[in-house]
Amino acid sequence: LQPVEMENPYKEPPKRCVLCGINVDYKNVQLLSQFVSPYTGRVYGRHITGLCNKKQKEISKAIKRAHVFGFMPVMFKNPSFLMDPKICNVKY
Amino acid sequence: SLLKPETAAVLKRTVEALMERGAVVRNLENLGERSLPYKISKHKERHKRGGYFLVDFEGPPSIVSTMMDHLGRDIDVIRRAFLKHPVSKKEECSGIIPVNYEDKLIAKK
Repeated sequence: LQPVEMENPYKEPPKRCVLCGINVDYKNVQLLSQFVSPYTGRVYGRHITGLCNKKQKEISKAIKRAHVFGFMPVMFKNPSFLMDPKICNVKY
Repeated sequence: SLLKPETAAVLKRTVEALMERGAVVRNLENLGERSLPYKISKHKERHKRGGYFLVDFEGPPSIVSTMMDHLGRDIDVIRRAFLKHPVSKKEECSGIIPVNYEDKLIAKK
């Protein structure tokens, strides 16, 4: 018997980030506020949010837009979104 | 202190100005009236509440500068902005592909 050429049958499906397949918009402030610090209002980095390249860029661009257009506060996180479930692995 | 007839007048004015410059207005959405995320000072007044509207239109890019000028002169408009229509990309999010750092290093050498 000879070994048969085949692709790895034990291959795991590619890991997906939290926003894989979700459309990021500058209008939904709640989604954007989940990636922002509640104390300073700064956007979390890639090592904290755990997002893939594309989505991290989209999120940061959307947050900057929301700041300028007057949808999202800049120096802090909107108090009504403080009780949202934690997505990023922040250690306060 | 937002009043219905006033906001209607503002919207009418802006849409008419857009159409005057040769734009085709597709849709007008009201994103609600809420308290602004931060106090905005405009036209000698400090605003705390505002109404958000989204106008969907198609037009030549030369409109943008003239419209920004026009809206800047309008007392009732607090903040103005123009955006390109978001193109809904094909949803082929294939997840995080693990990067092969060895190959990258050897190829650059």
